[in-house]
Amino acid sequence: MKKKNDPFAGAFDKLENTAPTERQKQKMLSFILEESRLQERDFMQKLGEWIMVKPWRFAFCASALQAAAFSLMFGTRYTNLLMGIFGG
Amino acid sequence: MREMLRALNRPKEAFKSGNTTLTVILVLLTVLVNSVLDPILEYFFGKFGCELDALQMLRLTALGLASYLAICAVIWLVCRCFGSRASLKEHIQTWGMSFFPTLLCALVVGVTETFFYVFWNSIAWGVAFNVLFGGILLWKTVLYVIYLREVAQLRGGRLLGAMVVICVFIVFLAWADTRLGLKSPVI
Repeated sequence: MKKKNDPFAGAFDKLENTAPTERQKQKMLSFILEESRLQERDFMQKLGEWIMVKPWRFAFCASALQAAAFSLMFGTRYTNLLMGIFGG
Repeated sequence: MREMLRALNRPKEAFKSGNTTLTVILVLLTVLVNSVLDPILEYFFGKFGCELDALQMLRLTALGLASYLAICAVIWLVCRCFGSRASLKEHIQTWGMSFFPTLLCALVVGVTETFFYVFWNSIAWGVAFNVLFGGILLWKTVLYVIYLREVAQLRGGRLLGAMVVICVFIVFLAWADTRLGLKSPVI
């Protein structure tokens, strides 16, 4: 038998009545999508910051990568070419 | 020293605040490496029969300083055409703060030209100098972009346009510098 003034029944009633409407759901979805977009931009911003703070770190890291890759592929032909252009 | 570290590690803030002393030190060092250190290296370790010519050193020093003023004038003029309000004085006082890679380049070029026979055909030295030259070029490019953003206050299409136009002048000035006797361009 249903008790009068049952606190659980009251709580469940309230929950059912306060379920988000379609409009609220749409709002929540757009909020989540906006947040995820912001987080994506944050990564780009972080990359930009990383380059702008201590730019020599980015420059020498990238240069080391290209030097390793192209020297492995072309050997002294590549290193001599750069030495010829920049260093003599 | 703190200013020097800031220009090295936080160029964005350094460009914003500016520091004439640091600019003068970096530009003078770069010019002197070109005009004094390079001939000395060549005299002691380079080609046989090289002589130290004080007058030529003075000429190269003047040429280096003129080259610095020329690149500042070009940056000022082009940036002005693209809507920047920074004055020529500001550019002269600030552009020199981007001279860490230029100074390093002058030193490395001096060494590689004098001891060319040691490094040629050596894969280890080749890779090491490859990393150095590539790094210097990228470093200067990043500083160049930060400079145009922070000092000239250019953004988007204006920044890109100014960069391309100045690049043409940079190539021309670099060619003229080396033709006139500076081993590495003071730009």
